[in-house]
Amino acid sequence: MRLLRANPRAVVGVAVLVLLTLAALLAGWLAPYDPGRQVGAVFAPPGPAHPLGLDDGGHDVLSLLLYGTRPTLFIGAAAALVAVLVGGCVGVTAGYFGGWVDTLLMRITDYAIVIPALPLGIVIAAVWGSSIGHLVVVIALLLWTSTARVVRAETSSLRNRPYVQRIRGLGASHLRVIGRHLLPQLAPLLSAMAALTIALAIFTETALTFLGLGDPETVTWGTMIRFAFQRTAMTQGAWWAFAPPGVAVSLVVMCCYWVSQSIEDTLNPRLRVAHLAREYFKVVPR
Amino acid sequence: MSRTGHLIRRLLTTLVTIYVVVTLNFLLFRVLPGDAVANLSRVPGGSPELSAALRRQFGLDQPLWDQYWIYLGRLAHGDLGVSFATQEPVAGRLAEAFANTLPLITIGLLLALALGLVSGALAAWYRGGWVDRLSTNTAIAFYSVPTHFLGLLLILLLGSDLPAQGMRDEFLVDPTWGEQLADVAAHMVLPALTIALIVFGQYTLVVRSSMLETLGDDHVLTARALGAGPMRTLARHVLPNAMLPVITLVALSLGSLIGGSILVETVFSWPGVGRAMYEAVVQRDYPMLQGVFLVLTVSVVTLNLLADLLYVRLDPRVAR
Amino acid sequence: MSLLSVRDLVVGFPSGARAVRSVSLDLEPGERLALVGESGCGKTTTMLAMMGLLPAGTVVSGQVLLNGEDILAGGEASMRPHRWTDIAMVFQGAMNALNPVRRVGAQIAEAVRIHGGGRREGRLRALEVLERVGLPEGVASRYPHELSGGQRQRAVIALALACEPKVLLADEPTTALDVIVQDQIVALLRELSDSLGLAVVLVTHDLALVPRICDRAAVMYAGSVVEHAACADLVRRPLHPYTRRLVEATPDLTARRPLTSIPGVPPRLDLPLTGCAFQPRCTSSLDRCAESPPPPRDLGGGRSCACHLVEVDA
Repeated sequence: MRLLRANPRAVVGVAVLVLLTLAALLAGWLAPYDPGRQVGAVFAPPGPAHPLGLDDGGHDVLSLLLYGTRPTLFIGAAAALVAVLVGGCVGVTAGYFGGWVDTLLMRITDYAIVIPALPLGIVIAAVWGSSIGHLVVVIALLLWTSTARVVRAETSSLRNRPYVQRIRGLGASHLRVIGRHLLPQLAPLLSAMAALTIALAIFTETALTFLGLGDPETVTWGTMIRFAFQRTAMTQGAWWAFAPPGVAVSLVVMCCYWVSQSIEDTLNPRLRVAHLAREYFKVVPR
Repeated sequence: MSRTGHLIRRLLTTLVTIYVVVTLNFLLFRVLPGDAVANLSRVPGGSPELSAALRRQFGLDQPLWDQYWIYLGRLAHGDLGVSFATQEPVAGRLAEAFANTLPLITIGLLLALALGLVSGALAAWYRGGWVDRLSTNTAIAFYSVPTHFLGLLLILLLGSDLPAQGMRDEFLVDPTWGEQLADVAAHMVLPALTIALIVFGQYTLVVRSSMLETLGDDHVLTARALGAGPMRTLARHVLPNAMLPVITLVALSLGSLIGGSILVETVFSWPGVGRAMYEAVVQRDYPMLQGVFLVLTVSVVTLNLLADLLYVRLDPRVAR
Repeated sequence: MSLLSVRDLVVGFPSGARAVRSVSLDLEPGERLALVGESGCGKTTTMLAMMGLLPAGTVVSGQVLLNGEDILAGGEASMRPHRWTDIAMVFQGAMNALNPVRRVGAQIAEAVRIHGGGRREGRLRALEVLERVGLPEGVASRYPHELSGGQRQRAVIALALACEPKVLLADEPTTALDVIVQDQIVALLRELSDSLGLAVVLVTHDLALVPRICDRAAVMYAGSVVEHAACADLVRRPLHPYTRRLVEATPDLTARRPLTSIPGVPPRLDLPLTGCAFQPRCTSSLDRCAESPPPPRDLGGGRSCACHLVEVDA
């Protein structure tokens, strides 16, 4: 309760993400229809039988949405995990060892950062062929760089703290210093980056899928938007075909952003006083 | 002296980056597990003969090193190959597409900057109040919406009032020059608005935090101590300083802006580079895809360099 | 009537902390007064309050009288015209006091222009004051980061002189400078005060600096002035137990005695005080020191002290 008052956004964010995960796990029970079966007219509007209407193939949108949660969240979480792992390893190695290792790794990161992500993802996915596994790898490949940068900066500042210097001076092995002393300190930062990366991963998945680079066999929120677009749902006024998955993606991204932002705010509280403000000091008579 | 040194170093890094990108562009299409030609042959109508012909046409039957030298040599002459789908030179088609994309992105970017500056500055000025909450939450909301979804929503809401497909109306009878311009402008409203809205969120958040940071700087206290009023302090001591990080931000956002334009051009059938990329993907037109990727990446790298040069010009402290 | 006088100044921050509990000061034209105390005792806050530069939400009461006119009462609006033309300030930390992306000369010229000067007048005045503080000619067209620490401090003093103020508030002007540059800045401040008839309030934690510049000193502890005296008297015969400990903790003032530090920490500013603020750290406190706060007692000859022990002695 105190947490809720202190940081309502983070709590709401986590709550929504937990609910969605539950929905993904229980999709089989929750979904009113089989998402693969035509249960009514194409683009039938929402009604009592179908709260979110039917899509371009006459499938129940609510059921599609619930089932679509599974691969969407899976791709998001898996890609984010890989990206943060890779980025974290690169960042810790560069920041901890410094010197030429640092220069080399950061130079590679700089090149990777400057290449626009979506075009690169499109090219790789187009040449490599599409499947869920490929999507995870491609997205991870696009998103590891920012984690690497942030983690490197933090690691190299931690490394120079006196107590870490002392532990190293006592002869602790590199692995021990990193595992026992650096990682616990980096954990909040890594989780903030992970939350943000999940958001970006889901974002990238919907974008790649929209461009026809997703897995054609799987229903994700991305494919729902794609099919609605291809059958021109937006000009037929069939908003229910693309709005639910679109809103769902936005919601997840927003929640991830809130969670990551709250972790960062807790890490670096900003206490600066503004010297220029709308109102000034107050004078009260004694 | 050290400023010149910095410039030369930046220029060299950019050239190296472009070289890396060029090489990457070569490797991606040849070394990745999915062989470009093998994928091609899966296209309906593909056959072993076609596949062999393609290999010969693209020189894929030669050793990798020879292919690389041929590729570099052609590139040096501005030859990006021949489109598989249309059998036309990629470079010509791309130049046309580029000319269509540039105004779209520029207008979208300017609109986003204007929106972001105003809402970010207001949020910082009224920090903690309802203006701040409204503007921050709006920014986060637009930050969270997928580009293509926003585009579809705009078509749904405004599609009956504004053209939502293509760049010009093909059925205009004997249009004057002015009518043509007005037509293109009308077609540009929705896509440019979509691009502006998806990046303005980022800009708002960064402008806000940069403003808050600057408001806490000691020299702002000095300005007030000099007797400067709030407007003068804002205009001469806060905004100019707070705008410096925004230049870097715009450079960093170029990548997502380009990515966004691919989606936007697909949604609105805008005949630009992004649309060309989408069509290349759909038709598995690899020479085209390769060309688009190269053009987009080199533009982003070059624009990054320009942003950096601008920053060096504006911030006297950069002199490493 | 004094040039500048502060009456019963109290400053409360939105966090609930009372940074200044009770401060009264008087400053005659051309006089040099030191405000001494440990870090966090409210010296800088007092200075900022005198210029009305406290952050939003701060609650101030008391009076700041400039030539008998209360410039605090009207808030920001009544403060602004007096800033820099009457009271100017040399801020702590010269590095950050100047705008890093504007040339030094332009920043000085701006002060002149804010108070109605023209473009040309501003530029000439900037060159004039920069020369006055002993900086070479080219400094006007340099950026702050291109100057050395000492040069920057001089530039900040030059900025303070731009509008010919009558009072100069100098907040730790020599901290973060090496000893030789410190001496030069001290000499410069004395010389400026003498030749321009400038009244100076020097804020410092360094008691050794005080007699070298100032005529009188006020010692602050936990947001209040505890002792007020001529510099010579203060150093030779401190009355308040806190001043005594401060003198003992300062090197160079009295020869051949061991240096001591003051045990304990200052009281928390966000809690109300029942007795004397220094009582928990005082070695000679009486029973009533914990019960009632000692009022400042005028001992004549410009000397006052807020301590129950002094009353006992008297």
